[in-house]
Amino acid sequence: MPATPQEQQERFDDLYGRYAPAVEAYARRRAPALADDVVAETFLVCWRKLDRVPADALPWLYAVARKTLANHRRRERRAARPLPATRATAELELPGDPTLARAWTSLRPDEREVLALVAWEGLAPADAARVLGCTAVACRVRLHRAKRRLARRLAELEPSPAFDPSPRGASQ
Amino acid sequence: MTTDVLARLQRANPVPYDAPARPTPARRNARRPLLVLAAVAAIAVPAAAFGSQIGGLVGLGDRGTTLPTSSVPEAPNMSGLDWPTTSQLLGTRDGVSFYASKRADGGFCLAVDVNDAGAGSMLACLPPDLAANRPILGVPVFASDARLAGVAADGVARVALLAANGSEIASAPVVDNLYVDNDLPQVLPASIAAYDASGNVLYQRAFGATPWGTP
Repeated sequence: MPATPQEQQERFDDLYGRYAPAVEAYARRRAPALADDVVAETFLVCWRKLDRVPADALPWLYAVARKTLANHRRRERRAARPLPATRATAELELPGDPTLARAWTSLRPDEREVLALVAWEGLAPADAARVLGCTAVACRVRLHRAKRRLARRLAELEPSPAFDPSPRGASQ
Repeated sequence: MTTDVLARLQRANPVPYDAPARPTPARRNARRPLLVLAAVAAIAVPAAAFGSQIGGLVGLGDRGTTLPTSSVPEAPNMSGLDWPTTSQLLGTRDGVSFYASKRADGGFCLAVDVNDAGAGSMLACLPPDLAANRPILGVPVFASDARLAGVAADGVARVALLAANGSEIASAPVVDNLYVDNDLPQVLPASIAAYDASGNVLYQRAFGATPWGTP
């Protein structure tokens, strides 16, 4: 049964009140300078497509925010302007762990995104798959590979005894 | 080892925030959030020439009822806005009360109190330059509920919300410098416009991407 305008308004208010901070955090983790615009545009889409927002709305909202961010970046690339919001520098994204930040920036964007969705947004792989528009199985595989690549990169940057290329460590 | 990587990444979260539990039953506050705007965004479409501005609304001896700002319902939320110690109750229309005050620097402060439990209210202080250049100020459209309400400078006869194609979505007459329309259709507005008595556009502002732009 179609919702009344009042019910629609209430649902939108509820979604906004409950999830806007999470969407804002999502945007700030990726593009601080664009965060406000991303939140506004995400909820504009939410308003327009309210009937299609699933009951578990957060992954859906993250997916919209992700597309909105991609659109912003595309527009800025087209305009050939500096991209303050898209400088994925280590300092910008991971200020507390410079080594991890270096390893992080060496990953591909799709690897960073799946890791961030799980580690920072706290999504289960099945929910991250909804954000990324892939199957849960594909998401698990992507996550596994991303974790492995990040671990390898970290090991290169901060060798532990097991990875120490000293004669003893390299004796094998 | 890869699990450690994830934990390390979690610790390095650049914007720590615990996402809310989901889905949970809808929770409704008895009163919707108060929206506080220290200053309003720049005007998207420059105002055309108009005889009056919102900054001239207060300070007139015969406009509204003067009262201590502490008695305004939204007073507890006014800290940081440099709100003057006295305000003027400009009036109450259709369940919406309007309190205004003019700062010494020429800034204009407005509190919109919707006297309906569950409805939103708003505080805004315009800096002097904006107060001197815009003829209307009101609740953000669709911020917390669909309502067109605000104050208008002398000379504004009507305020309307327009769709992207320019058609009128809703309109409210300005009476005693106040306008209210509590029953907006469920259509997203693209801009707001103020008209004089002859139907000339005095001011128009596009909301841009946000449906809760402040008129």
